Order: sequence, then structure tokens, then C-alpha cells
Amino acid sequence: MADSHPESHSESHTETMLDRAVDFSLGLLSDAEQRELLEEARSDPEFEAILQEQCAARESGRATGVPGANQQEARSGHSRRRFLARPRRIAAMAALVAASVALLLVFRPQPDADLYWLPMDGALTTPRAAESLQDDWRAGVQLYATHELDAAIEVLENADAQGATAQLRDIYLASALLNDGRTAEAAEVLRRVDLASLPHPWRGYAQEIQRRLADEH
Amino acid sequence: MQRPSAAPRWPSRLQELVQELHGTAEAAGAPTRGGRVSTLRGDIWLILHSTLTAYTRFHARRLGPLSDSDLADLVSEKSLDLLARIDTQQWDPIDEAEGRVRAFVSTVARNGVVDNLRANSRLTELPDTELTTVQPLHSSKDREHERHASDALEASEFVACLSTCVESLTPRARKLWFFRVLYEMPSLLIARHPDIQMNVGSVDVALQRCRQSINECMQTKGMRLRALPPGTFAALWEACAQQRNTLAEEEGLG
Repeated sequence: MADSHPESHSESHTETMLDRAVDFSLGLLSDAEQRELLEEARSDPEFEAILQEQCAARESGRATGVPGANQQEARSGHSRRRFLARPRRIAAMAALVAASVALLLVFRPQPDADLYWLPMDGALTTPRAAESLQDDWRAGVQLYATHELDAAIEVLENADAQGATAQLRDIYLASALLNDGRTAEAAEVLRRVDLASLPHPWRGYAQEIQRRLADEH
Repeated sequence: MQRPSAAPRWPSRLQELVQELHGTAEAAGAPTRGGRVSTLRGDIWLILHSTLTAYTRFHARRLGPLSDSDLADLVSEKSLDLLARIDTQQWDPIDEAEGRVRAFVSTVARNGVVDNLRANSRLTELPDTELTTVQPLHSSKDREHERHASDALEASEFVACLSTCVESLTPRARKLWFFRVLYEMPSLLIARHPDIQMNVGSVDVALQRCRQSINECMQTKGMRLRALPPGTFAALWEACAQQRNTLAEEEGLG
């Protein structure tokens, strides 16, 4: 960097790599320059790694946006304050809110208090930085944890898992199917689980699903 | 690099954006102006965030290790700090030489790393001879691949097959897959990305379908999915990232 050892050729080389990677990631290079840089990256894993990191940083930055920008806009929302200062509009807004509340009361979703949700094991639901290419069942469990049944069922049904992991996947899948009202499919999935070999607390969870399935019939 | 003398573009781009921001902010009042200010601030923040990420990583490799979360927090904090200084014109890069803009951002990153390491008593400045080498994230994997010529050939075949399989996905699915597998972005961040705009559950489902599709495609080519070898990013970037939509084009500045 300019603040230390600017005369060093190697350091200058590294600086150039960084700056070129930043320019690339920000889309400041022409198509020809991009292609040239990618060619260099193909033959230089170190440079490729830097390029990859910078592109990842750029896309993460695009996804987050300026932190707090919305709050800042809200704070400077003079037009909203002017709107609220008008009594007639306040009355109209109050009527709208009241109507919305009434609609929500009439059409509110049924509580799922009767559903049985498996407790979450923290190790299963913590997202990992480097997700394995075939780790779908973890994604399925995370969807189950947020009660996104359709998505969880689809992911768990297709998740490739072996041995104990497959048993775990099936317990979550059976529970998701049961909570979705698909009892026959839930029972079928649960039949694949060897209850006798399950350790604590999974055997208890599976037995609870089994009991609830029996109650449904 | 073959052209070490090439000047970086980002300092001049930053200067252009700041100049426009100050001009727009002075004339602010009309709603479109306010929207434009917000867009410009977003673009400036993106440049600051990207450059600070690069320089913070560089200095952290010299001075001592930072965890990913420490690095992300530091970059975010310093990016916002610099943006605030631009807003208040405490730092005005417009009249600075481009080299000074670059040096200033680098110094901000270095000071941030030093402060963080001091706070955690992990400051271990390396001798000057070690300052110059940037260690790639996956250096051990890279070296492993470099050691074996046969591995290199196999890696090349693997990347070629993977490239074909990835290209069979829809453009959006390709991008999703690329964000997760090459950029290691979590589902929440992918869902929020302006090019994606999906809910988290749908992202996970779509990713699962992508993986399944690529897995099946690779199997038909007699390949098994494994850790991605060096060269994968460079080979797939054009097909997946589609970043030709530069900042200027995206925001209509060009």
C-alpha cells in the first residue's frame, strides 16, 4: 500500500492485483479487459482467489445495500410529516387501519397450537459458511425450523442422506408431512425409521409423531 | 499481472460519483433529486465497501488474523464512516490525486485492522519480507492441486464438465448457484440480492434443485461433485455472474 514500502516491486504487484480485482468486481473494466483478467486468473490461483473474494464482497454489498439507509430516509421524511399534519387525512388513515384490523380478525390464519414441531438442535440449524454441495437436508431442516412446510418437504424429500443422517432427515420429513395434513405420507416415511436404534432424544420425537399419527386415524 | 503500471479505475469512479452527489445534494428538494442522492450514496458505499474489503484483507494477512465476522464488521463500519465523511465533506476525494485517494482508503483499512488486533491483543506484525505475499483463501487446496500434474488435468476436465452442466441451468438459477457455491453467500443474503428478490425458502428450494440438476448432469459425464478446483471461478464467471451490467450501466450513469 502507499503507506508502506512503495518501492517494493512485489508489494506493488500485490497492490495492482488488488486494484485490478476491485475494478473487475465493480464492473469498471471493458469486456476485453475482463477476459484478459480471467485468463490471468486461470493460470494464477492466487489471483483467482483474490478476484473471487472481491466479486463475493461486491455481491454481498449489493445485497445488503447501505446499512441504515432506510432509517435515514425515514428520518428525513418531511413529506410524511406534512401528510400526517392534515386532520382529514389522519381520519382517513384511522379508518383504513380500523378496516384492516377488522379484516385481519376475520381472516386471521388458524393457530397451529395443535401441531407438534420437533425441537431444534442448534448444530442442525446453524448455517455454515462453506456449505457442502450435497447438504440439502440441512437446508430442509432450516426451512422446517421456520415452519415453511412446502419448501421443507420438497427439500427434505429430495435430500441425499445416508445412515443416521437419513434417519434424522426422515424424522423431520415425517413431522413436516404430518403438520401439512399429509398423514399417509408421513406414516410411510416414518416406517423407514428404525425407532429401536434411535438415540435419545430422537426416539422420543419419532414416537410422538407416531402417537399423533395414530390419533389421526 | 502483465500490466503492473495500469492505473486503477475505482478512485476516478469514486471521484465522479462524489462530485455528482455533492452537485445533486446542493440542488436537492425535488423527489427525483432525493432518489438520485440515495442511488449515488449506494454506489459510493459499494466502491468503499469493495476497496476496504480488499485492503482490510491485505493488511490483516500482514498484521494478524481477523475472523470473517470481525473483518465484515470492520469493513462495514469503515465504509459507513467514510460515507459519512463524504456526506459532511470532511473528506472530499474530488480534488485529491487518485493515488492519494487510494492511499487514504488503504490507511483507513490498515488502522482499522491495527485497532482491532490491538483490542484483541493479536497484533503480530510480520517481517517486511513477508509483506508482499497475499495468501489465497484456499491456499492449501491450491498447492495440493498444483503438486500433481495429473490432478491438474483431472481438474481441468472437471471444470469443463461443470461448466457445461451449469450452463444448462436457467440464468437466474445459475446466478443463485454461483452466489452460494462460489461466493458462499448465505440464503438470506441471496434472497435480498437485487438480481434475485426471492424469499429465503424459495432460495433454498431453488438451490436444492440446482444441486440436484448439476449432480445428475455430472453423473451422466462420469464425474462426481467434489471440492471445486482452482480455475472454476474464472471458467464459470462469464456464464454465471453476468456482471457486464456495470455500475454505470445499472444506474444509467454511462
